[in-house]
Amino acid sequence: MNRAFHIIMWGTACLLIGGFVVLIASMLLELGQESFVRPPHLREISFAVKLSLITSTIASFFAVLISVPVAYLFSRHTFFGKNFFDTLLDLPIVLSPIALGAMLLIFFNTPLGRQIDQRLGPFVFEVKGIILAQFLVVVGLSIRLLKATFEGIDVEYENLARILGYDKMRVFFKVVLPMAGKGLIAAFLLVWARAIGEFGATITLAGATTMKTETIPVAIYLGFESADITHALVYITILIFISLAILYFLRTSKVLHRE
Amino acid sequence: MNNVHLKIETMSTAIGGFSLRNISLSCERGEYHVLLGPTGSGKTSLMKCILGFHKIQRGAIYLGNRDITHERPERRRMAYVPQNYSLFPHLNVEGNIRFGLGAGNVPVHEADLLINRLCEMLHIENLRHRKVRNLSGGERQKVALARALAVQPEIILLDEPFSSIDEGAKRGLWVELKQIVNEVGITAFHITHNLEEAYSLGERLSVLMNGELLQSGAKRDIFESPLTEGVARYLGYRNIFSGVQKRHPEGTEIDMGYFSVFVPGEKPETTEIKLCIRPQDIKIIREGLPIGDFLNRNIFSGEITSLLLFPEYCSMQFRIEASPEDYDFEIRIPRYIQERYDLYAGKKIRVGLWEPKIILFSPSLVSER
Repeated sequence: MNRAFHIIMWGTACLLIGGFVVLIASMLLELGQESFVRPPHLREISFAVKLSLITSTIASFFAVLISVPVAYLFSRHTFFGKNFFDTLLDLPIVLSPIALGAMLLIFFNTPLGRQIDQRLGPFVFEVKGIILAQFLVVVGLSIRLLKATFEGIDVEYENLARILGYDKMRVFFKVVLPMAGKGLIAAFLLVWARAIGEFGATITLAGATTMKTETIPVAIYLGFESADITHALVYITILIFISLAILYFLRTSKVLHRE
Repeated sequence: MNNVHLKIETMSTAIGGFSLRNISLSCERGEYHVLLGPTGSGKTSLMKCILGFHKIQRGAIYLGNRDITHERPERRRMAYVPQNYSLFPHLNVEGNIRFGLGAGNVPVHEADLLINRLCEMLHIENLRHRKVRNLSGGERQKVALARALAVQPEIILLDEPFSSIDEGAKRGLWVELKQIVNEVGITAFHITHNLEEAYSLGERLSVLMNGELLQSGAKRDIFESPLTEGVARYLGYRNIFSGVQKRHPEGTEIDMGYFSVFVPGEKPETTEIKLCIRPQDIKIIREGLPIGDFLNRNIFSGEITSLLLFPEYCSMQFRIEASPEDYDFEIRIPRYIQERYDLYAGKKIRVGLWEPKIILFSPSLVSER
């Protein structure tokens, strides 16, 4: 029975990993064989990569920044309707990004949305829209990750700091944030990787305009739309390498794993 | 009364499904006070109330002349050593000790002097630059103590500070902790469920059970004269009997039905009473030798029904002749006595109850509160 158990475990893992490897290998093979119908210009690639990295970094920064107080509140306090609000904040994790994008688009058609669009925007079919769409998609994930981080910090540390003379605000900055440091970095990296790959909400709110709102996922979409598979494959390869690099760093970084 | 440092007056509060009821205790300046109670009795909750982390619903807490009932924790001028020490993992040993000084804006040179003195006193100079994760249990405790004392508090509260220390190292650390607290001259309020720890460290004790403070007083009074059956059982009194008082020319006789015990002096005028004696206060009578004054009126013949040997002592069960029970007394004797008297299960012996240690519970306190 032990042998059978090991075969099931190893066999399943090998099948799944093999599947991923085959997917990536077949894509790279295809990329090597294809003759470029319209080889993407370096300038185009550079634009899409830069736009993706800039928008996702800004969106992730704001997502983590806003998640910190929200996640801390939910990890430390009990209040009326907490479960409902907690569930509401989870919605972006499970909701289809296209639906989120559509909701944003509808919101900017309301009087309040138009006011916000005029004062802080424009968002619709603009780069700011990409940031907003990415922010909305990843903020739920960010809250979830940081809530787990804060819950992992024993409240006793905070109690102790207060007894030693620190008020709540100083306890947060002197004890909670330094102790949550690795969790914050890890949450930012995961959220960033997710934001780089965001497509559904982005295309719904910001559209797919070449050299304007063309993030890497949008470039992939545009490549397929114009039946230029090779064009899309270049961007897919870039996206895979960026995502793998972030995830591998998360898993192996000494900074994040040192006790 | 002016010397009272920490005073809790008729405090009551509910925390979740648990409640602390009508707690009153006082702790004198410079005293080492131990709050003793089994797990789940509410010791930590009471400490959290004193520290200001649980709001109290009734009563008041005073520290010296200050009413601190509604004072914020950071303004109470207390120090706290939690159960697992909670040393900040992002700071090294010195950073941990220095931490509290940052809140009070103590000048750097003064802070340095204070830290030097504390490190010297606690013998942790060599640990100053170590990461806290590399410290042993005893070293962690000393760093936590140094961190607490660094803020020069009015009182130090210790929550089961030896719970994560190896059994073998505990006793040495009890002595060290007591010496340090005495040297600093600070009032200490220590909670534990360990009887030996409480006896070794405490000058005065309070016993908390099921959210109620059952007894508070000098260590000797608590251990030798428990007021209730619950306290007695918790303190290791195993031989507890219900009996009826009868007159005796020289004192009182407590009749348990199939045996009776003599107790000197007059007892409360009640009929029903409970009697108890600790296992170590029942002595083996050596045949052929004169019997001491405090044993000779309560001697029982019978048989050892079982005998368990432990590294430091021997525990036996003893049945009085003609008793309907499986056994009547639980007796604890040193190992050398067992060997010298050649005691074994089935052997017929005589035992005597050490008169001064026989305890009677007055009827109002007989039942568990």
